[in-house]
Amino acid sequence: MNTDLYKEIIASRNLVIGADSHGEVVSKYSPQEIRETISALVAEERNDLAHALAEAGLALYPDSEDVLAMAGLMAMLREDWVESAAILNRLLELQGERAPLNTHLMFIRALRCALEPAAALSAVMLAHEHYPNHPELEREFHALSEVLGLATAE
Amino acid sequence: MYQLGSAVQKRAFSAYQALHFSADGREGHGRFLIEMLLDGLAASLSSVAKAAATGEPDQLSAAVHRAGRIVIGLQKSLDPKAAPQVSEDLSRVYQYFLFRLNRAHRGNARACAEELLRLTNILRAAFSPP
Repeated sequence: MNTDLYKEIIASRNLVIGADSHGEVVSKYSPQEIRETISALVAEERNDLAHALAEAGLALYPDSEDVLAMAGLMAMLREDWVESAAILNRLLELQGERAPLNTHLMFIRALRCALEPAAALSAVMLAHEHYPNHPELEREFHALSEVLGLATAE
Repeated sequence: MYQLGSAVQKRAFSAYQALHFSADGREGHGRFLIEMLLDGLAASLSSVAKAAATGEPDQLSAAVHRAGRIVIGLQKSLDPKAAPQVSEDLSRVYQYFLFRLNRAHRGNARACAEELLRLTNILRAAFSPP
């Protein structure tokens, strides 16, 4: 999957998500355990702690799909769209061809809310390659085309 | 440098750890959370030291901010009602972390990260079961 389109945007916001701890720190907790604890904290409405734990998860496991998915959701919850887009971009890179539709949709929405409609439209087109004619993607396509002033055939 | 690790302080941390067990309702949940946060903090500080050594400003900034957000989470996890004195002491320790992390942006980030990493490891040892 070509995610290079978004890298310029992410880089222009000076955002680095995967600060590599190069294996110096080992935790006895797995990414799954961290993800489950974040879920429990969100259910208890302890969002500040959930946010901190998502950061801890990213520090320990920057390439874990479990942690990235949860951290992307946490960033969306606090409406940090640029960080969310950066995290989901990394997740899409890791998941490649097997990325589920939900990851694509979250990424598209994060870019749209980060006021990057052109990048969001590119993300729709990439998602469309894997999920052709999906109604959610069609809706996003038409909405973004309208925002960008592009004529679309109904 | 902030002094930690005396026998008295270790006993106090053990007391706070025990309070987490009872105060939280679910056995071990609180302690696991603190351990996870401290592990993540150690990883972030390790990243700060690495980025400072290799001269990568973006990575350095990201790692310093991440460490700061984890420290704020640790502060939020304190329960002054359950353990007033230990909470106050730990709150001061975490404030010191934030102060030093703020200074890390102004230079000497590697020494700062190494100092805080040593303190973090003392805290991790105090919170881990014997």
